[in-house]
Amino acid sequence: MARVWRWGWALGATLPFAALVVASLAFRWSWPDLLPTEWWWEARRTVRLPIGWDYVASSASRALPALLTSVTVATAVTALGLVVAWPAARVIAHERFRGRQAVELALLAPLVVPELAVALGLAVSAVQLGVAGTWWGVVAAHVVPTLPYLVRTLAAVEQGFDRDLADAARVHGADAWAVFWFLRLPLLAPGVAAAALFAFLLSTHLVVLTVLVGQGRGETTAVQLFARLGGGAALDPVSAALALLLTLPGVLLLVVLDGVLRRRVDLRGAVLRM
Amino acid sequence: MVIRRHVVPPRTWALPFALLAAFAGVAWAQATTAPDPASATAAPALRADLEHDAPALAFRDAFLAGDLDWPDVLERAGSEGAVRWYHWGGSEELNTWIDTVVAPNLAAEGIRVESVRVPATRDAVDVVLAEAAAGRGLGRGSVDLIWINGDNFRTLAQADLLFGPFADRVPNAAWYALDPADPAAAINLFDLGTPTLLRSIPWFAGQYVCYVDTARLPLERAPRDHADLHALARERPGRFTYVRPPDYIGTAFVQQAVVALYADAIASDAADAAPTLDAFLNDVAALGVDDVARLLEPGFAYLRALEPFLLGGGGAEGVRGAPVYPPSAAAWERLVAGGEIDLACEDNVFHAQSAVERGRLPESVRTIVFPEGAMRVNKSFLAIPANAPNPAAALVLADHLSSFESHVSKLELIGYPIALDLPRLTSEQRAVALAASPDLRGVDYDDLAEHAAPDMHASWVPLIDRLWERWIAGASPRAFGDVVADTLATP
Repeated sequence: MARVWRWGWALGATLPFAALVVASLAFRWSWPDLLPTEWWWEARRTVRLPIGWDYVASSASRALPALLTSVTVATAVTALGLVVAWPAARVIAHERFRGRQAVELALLAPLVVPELAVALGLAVSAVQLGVAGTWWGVVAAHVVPTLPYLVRTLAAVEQGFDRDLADAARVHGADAWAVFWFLRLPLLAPGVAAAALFAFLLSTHLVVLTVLVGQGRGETTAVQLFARLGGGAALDPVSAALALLLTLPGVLLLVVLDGVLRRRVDLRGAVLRM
Repeated sequence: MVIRRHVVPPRTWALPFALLAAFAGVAWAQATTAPDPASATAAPALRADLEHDAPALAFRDAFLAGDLDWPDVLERAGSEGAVRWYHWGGSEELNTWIDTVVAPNLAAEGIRVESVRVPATRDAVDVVLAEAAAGRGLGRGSVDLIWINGDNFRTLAQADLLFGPFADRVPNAAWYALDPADPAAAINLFDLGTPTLLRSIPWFAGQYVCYVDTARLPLERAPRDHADLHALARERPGRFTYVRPPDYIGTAFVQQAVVALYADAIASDAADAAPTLDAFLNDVAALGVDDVARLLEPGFAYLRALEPFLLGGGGAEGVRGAPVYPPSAAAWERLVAGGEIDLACEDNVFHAQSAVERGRLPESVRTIVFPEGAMRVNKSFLAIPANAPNPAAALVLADHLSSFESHVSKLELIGYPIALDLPRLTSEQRAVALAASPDLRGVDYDDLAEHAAPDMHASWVPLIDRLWERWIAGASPRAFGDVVADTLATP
């Protein structure tokens, strides 16, 4: 039985990707054919301008620089987001103070307001601050919508932390750094990793904010994909290839985090518990 | 080991972080209430509320006053060194052409072309507006050149954020009729009815054409006019649909139906003192509610009558199904490729050929003349924002893109029609252009010229979109005239 489940999971997880792979390799493929009637490699020599993966691999597509931008921005957003959100989540989870509910509400504000509505205002602010069109400007703008997710997730993670353990450690002479490094971090790592994954994935998928604050420069893979599919277009081979590229960073991060955490804790369990 | 005095330290240190995070949240919420830069009131000439770069301003004034020769412009362009061209980035053909043809040509003149690919032209306009809202003037913004038309151009014109007039001051202006007294100049001087005032130069020549898959619908049964289309739809229910406005291609389909059906209506009762077809070429604001309703009703009634016979439409009179309106031209094309419908349309006469060549449509697709005498033509343009960082390089790129060689290369490699005024070509140039032209797949240039018709004034577009949403998609049970009155009353 367990085996059936495992195969079911594997199939469910890979089937959409298989469809994307086939779509990215197709030249002529339309309903109701199950597979393309003509493939990319059969047509690539006869069509004048590069098609499918040839275009993606060409410098004209800028697919690789965009992927690199996606990854570096998302990494910085995740790091910066954790620095801001973790302490905030810790206060929300453990402290009682005047105005706490107001702070919580303000933290949730980005969840309520759609990205589109806010992007223009943030773009004006970014121009005034002189960070529009820069890598840092995009990172700073991305941090804003990731905060509510990070704070909510991390607050739940923090609530699971028994502060008596920290007190016990302090009694035995551990300084704040040691408590963080040897106690808090290892115990909370799975939850924090899950939160970081959310932030990372969210950042790699932001489009409007990226375009307006980044002023169209520093294209990310999501922006490239949106330019092609935004109007509700069909999944053409190049879009399918870009979609595959867009899933890469998240999958890689999941694998890396899983590898790092596996010895001590079960990351997947933590994700499921959230 | 040292035992510290504060065994259990206070945990208040983290509070500033919480407040910082909360601040970010509030800032986000506040940003939504920031004033929309699009509604900023327009100022005459260069907007006084912007901070301009002094040398760039001096260059502009000298250029517009006619004090500079073209070599002076080239020299300043070379010292600017780069030009940022914003354009829709969803076409791999266009991206490849710019990178492999345009960029090397400009590099030879010492100008680096940064082609900035935005998901939609609206995004480039938003960047210009945001920078203007932050006070960035000429020489201090970040957008040099935009491929633009329609609503987006009107937005920049209303915000007074266009550089120019320049279209008559670049060497390649000679390709265009630009004298307002010349009737042939209208297509170069009006962008969907908005006067360009020479603040944009034509770059793309659109003509609305439709194509059919002849493997499913024999060419001789292809519709020639809207009555044919209706008859065909009744005969083959579910084999046609059109794109949902406000998508550009969908709105264009509705516009054509409106014009064609109104033309039929006035032809059948000529005695009536109804507005003429020219009403569509002028601002809708100049008309009364009754006239607007009268002009639009035949077309909208036609579309409503067509609805049961569209894809998913129910298949018979009086049956209200759930008609499927694809969201974009690409989705419309996909329905033809999948054999679900027989006919779709585009704004480029070479579209069918490009799509077949690149595997998106089957070989059996042919272009048709539809509707006869009413295939609307228009041009889209290149415009320079008033806060362009490199105005001279922008002028040089705009001029380069207006050269005969560039238009021929664009035609040959990516099937974008030549936007130059064709009567101005010499016979040798015409031969070159013809040789470079992709196959028209079933029609010829004479057909296209014979059945061309001018486009509506841009002010009709938002009205038609909203009416379609209410009266067609929303299936409002109210009389059409009442819905028009309502729509006009609520801006």
